[in-house]
Amino acid sequence: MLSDRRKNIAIFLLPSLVMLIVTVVVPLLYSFATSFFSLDLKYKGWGEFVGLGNYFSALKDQYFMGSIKTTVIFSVIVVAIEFIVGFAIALLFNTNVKGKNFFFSIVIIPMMITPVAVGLTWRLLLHSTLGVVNWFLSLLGIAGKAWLADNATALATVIFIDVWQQISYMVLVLLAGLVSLPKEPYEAASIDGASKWQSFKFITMPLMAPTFLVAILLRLITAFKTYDLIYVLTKGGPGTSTEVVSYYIYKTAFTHLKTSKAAAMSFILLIILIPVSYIATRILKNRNEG
Amino acid sequence: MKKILAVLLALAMIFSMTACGNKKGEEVAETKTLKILMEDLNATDQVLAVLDEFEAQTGIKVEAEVINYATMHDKLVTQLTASTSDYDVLVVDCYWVGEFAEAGWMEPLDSYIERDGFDTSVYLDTMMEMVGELDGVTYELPFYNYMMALIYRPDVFADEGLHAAYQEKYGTDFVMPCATLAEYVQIVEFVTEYNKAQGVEMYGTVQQAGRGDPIAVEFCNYMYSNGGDFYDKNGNITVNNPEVVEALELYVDAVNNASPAGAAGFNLDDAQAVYFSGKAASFVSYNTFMPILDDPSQSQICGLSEIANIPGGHALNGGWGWAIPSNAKDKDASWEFIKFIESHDIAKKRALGGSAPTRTDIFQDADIQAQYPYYDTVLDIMSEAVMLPIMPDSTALMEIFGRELSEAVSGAKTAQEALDQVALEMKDLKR
Amino acid sequence: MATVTLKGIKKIYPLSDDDKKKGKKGLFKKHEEEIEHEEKVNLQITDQGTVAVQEFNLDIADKEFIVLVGPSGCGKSTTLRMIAGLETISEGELYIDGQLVNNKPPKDRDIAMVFQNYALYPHMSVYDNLAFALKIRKTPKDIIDKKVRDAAEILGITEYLHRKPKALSGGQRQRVAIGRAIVREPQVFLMDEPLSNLDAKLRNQMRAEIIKLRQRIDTTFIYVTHDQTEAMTLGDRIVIMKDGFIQQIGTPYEVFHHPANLFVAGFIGTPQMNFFKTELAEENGQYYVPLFGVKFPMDAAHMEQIKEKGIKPQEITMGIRPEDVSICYEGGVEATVDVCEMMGSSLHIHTTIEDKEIVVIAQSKELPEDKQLGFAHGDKIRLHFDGHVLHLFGLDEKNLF
Repeated sequence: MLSDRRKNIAIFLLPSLVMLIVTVVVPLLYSFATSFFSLDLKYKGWGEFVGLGNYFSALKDQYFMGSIKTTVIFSVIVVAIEFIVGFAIALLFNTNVKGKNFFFSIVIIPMMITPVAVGLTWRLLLHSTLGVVNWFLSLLGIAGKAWLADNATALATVIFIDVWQQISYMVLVLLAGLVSLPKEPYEAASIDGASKWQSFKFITMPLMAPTFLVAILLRLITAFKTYDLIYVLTKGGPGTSTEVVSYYIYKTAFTHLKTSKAAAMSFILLIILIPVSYIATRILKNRNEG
Repeated sequence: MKKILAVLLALAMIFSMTACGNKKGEEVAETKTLKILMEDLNATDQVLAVLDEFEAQTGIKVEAEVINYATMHDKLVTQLTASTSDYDVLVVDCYWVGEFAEAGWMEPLDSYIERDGFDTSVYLDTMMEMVGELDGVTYELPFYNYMMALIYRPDVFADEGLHAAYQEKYGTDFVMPCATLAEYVQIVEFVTEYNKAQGVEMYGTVQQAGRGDPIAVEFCNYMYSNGGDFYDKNGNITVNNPEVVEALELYVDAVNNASPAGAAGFNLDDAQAVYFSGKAASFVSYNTFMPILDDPSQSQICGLSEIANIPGGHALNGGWGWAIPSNAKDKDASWEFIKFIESHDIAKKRALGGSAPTRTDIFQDADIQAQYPYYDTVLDIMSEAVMLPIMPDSTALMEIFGRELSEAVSGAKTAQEALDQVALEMKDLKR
Repeated sequence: MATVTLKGIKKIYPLSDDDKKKGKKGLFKKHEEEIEHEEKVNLQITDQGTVAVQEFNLDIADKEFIVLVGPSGCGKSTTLRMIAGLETISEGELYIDGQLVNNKPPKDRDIAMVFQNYALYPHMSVYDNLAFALKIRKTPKDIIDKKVRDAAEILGITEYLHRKPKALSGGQRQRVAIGRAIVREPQVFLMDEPLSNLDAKLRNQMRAEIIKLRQRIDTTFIYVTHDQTEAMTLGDRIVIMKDGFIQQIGTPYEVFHHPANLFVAGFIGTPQMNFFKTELAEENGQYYVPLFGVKFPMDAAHMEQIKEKGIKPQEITMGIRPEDVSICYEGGVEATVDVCEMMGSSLHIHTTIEDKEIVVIAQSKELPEDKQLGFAHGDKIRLHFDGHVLHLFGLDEKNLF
């Protein structure tokens, strides 16, 4: 009996396992291997074996390190804002506000647009002389800004646009968490004498804690990999003020054609992200078991 | 029974994956179809317009995939490094030539040219040098030129009040086009300042100072016209020489004081939109804009623009060439297409539609001259124009250049610091 | 320790705009989904909305144990939740300890409640679950500790105090839920179907413990259940509800021996009372009920009431409990056995007389030896009906007496 079951499991698992190996494991190992050579897309073959040379040169590359710093700043701010504002919106949607469905659809819309379209749209809106934003500000008597072209505002503007697009993810995840909270503990608490604020503090917050962590960590991982929005909005500029690490790696691989160095950079990025995703999966697993 | 079904299902899934891989090979055998990746602009439209004619003549269908310039290089690279390419004909930007040739991605055309007796002497020498031959091997036929130039509005610069005010401030009058780069920057800054005082939204110039190619190519005009270059004749790096530093300082000055706010983030299309809407008096851009500037469906300033050499006298020359990828499946068919598209009649037809010519005979054609009288000017400018260095790492050079120029424009670095960084990184580039 | 008084309490779920469009038909469906887990609902719908609880009047004495019982959707839980303050009261007045509490939030009513699904705080340990209410009230730590440990001691959960609810069995969780109510020392102890999620054995055990608990903490209890056995064993008085209406309020003895109407008669007691459509007839001033060719005369006590109330001969439904039918060996009425359920000490015999089903309970030791394990399908037996314990219901389904 058991061996039959095992056979069935193997049969059903095999295709996805093969797919997984072909599409994930093999490229991963391949790029890991290339990171130790001096592979350049212009030339056939793998080039010379350079050991950890690409890793050292990546770590010594001030622009790579700078892009990591920019990425960390970008990710932390973006996730913090999205979490706080997103949770507030989720709480609002979790009550019986009038027009909830209408506003909910609006909040969800940005998430359904591809980042490239979002970037292009905002580029137009924020165009310093022809854009709607500055025109509107001028009506209010406020001098417009060169939002994406000014060192002082470019990163903040990109952050704003990313929040605009991605906040719906937070709202969705947190709202799903809120909706699935059991109702009974709240009734028990109200009978036990808890005020609304105490219910929120002692029941909602601790019960939501795993959802918070998962939402924040998953979003942190995706924020760390942000690429398309930067590509469309600023190409890392002005200067290097919005250069995020994924964009830098892309440039290294496809403009400089330094495949091996790009692979090494990817693995450095991976090493940064592994602990984050490990924590996230652990929490998810614990929650499913609970 | 259930188990058998399960096995069949699993096998079907695996085979369906491999089946997908087989399909491509079969299609080619049926009808010949050539695929080309092209940039979304007028010269491409002129090519698209004659594809039916080619199919009628040869029975070969051509599918052009038209995309934005920014993604073209990277998309091509992934195809060209593969064993077979999705693309049968390449259009190659002049500064990719060194890289593509070094990598062996382009098929030498000499044997085809010789076999069919195609006359390459009709092309302008500068074009053949840039997007034709490299080290004695013909890899490409020149497709169109996109030399940059100064496009300006004589009507704006002719304003009497402007001249009077300029004279009052500087003690001398000016003429446009002017002689030096420094003078140009001074004039366009004054135009901006003057019009602002008048409450008119009219900038002296609009620059495409966004990071990457836009700023890199535009600044080349400033650099060359101010007497600078990337390398000297002996191959020494000269990109941080004083004349280049001065050119960059002038460029940054113009971004800050002559261009609209936000120019530091502008791509070609942003700058184009400003100029085409009549809000700028001049811009350094492609000569290929001239026909479109007189097209009322695209321009609000029809008939008002003229073209001139960059003040200082050295524009950035540029152009595209036709090539056959060395991993193309049917190279004879690819050559058929290139031969067709570059034949005199078709080239003339395209040129009449506004595609900037590369052949002397087209430039001198009476019909063309009648329609585009400024082509004489273009030829004059071209005779002094400079092209980007042809080298294997030219795309990397442009990326580095674009990044550091943007650093200077954004104020994060001085002109000297930025160019020193470029010089430093250029040492690692393959020439 | 307090009295609880419900005066004309009503619960009306207002119609939304959507409901008004849908009309009554759609409404039934909607409320079937909304109000508990419905089986059959026949709630009254007025212009104001769906009436879940109608004119509920009840005086609950101090330290009384009241059980609200009825089928799903009868309004018993809604009534309890109105007392708790979890539902608003649409109409009427609710007094706890003489104070009007209609608009007071739950925390100001000094009540404790045990929920059907335990409603424990999943992220807190058992200790913290028990201590939560006291912490909210800023009770000193040492007093909290003492109360929590006392309650845990009473319920036998001391060794689980550090555990999280998910590491406990259903029975243990229910003890924690009860413990959480105990530490509060409330005026009124509310229990909403606390045993319905437990298996049969555990349920019997916990029922006994609730009886013990009641003796120990001695306060006012209001207990909701759909299980008539729980109602009978626990309640000082039982309130039987159906479709939002109170059917009868009485002691377990009263509701069993003198059901106010057909519904109560059928709801209380297992197996269910046997019902027959027949008539109350009169012959020479003597009233009787004819059934299966036998005339069951009304006894003297009944005759006295008939005279007093002026009851006329009429069509009736007659009810007789299975316990009040016995097997005899001569006389009586012949019946055919369909199914015989062996219950251990007794037999539940399902029989048919003239196509009418009658259930009989027979003590197996009183039967002949060969029949002690039960009768076979098709066996003929003779049944005797005890005329003194007939229940007669008029066409309005109300008890005639």
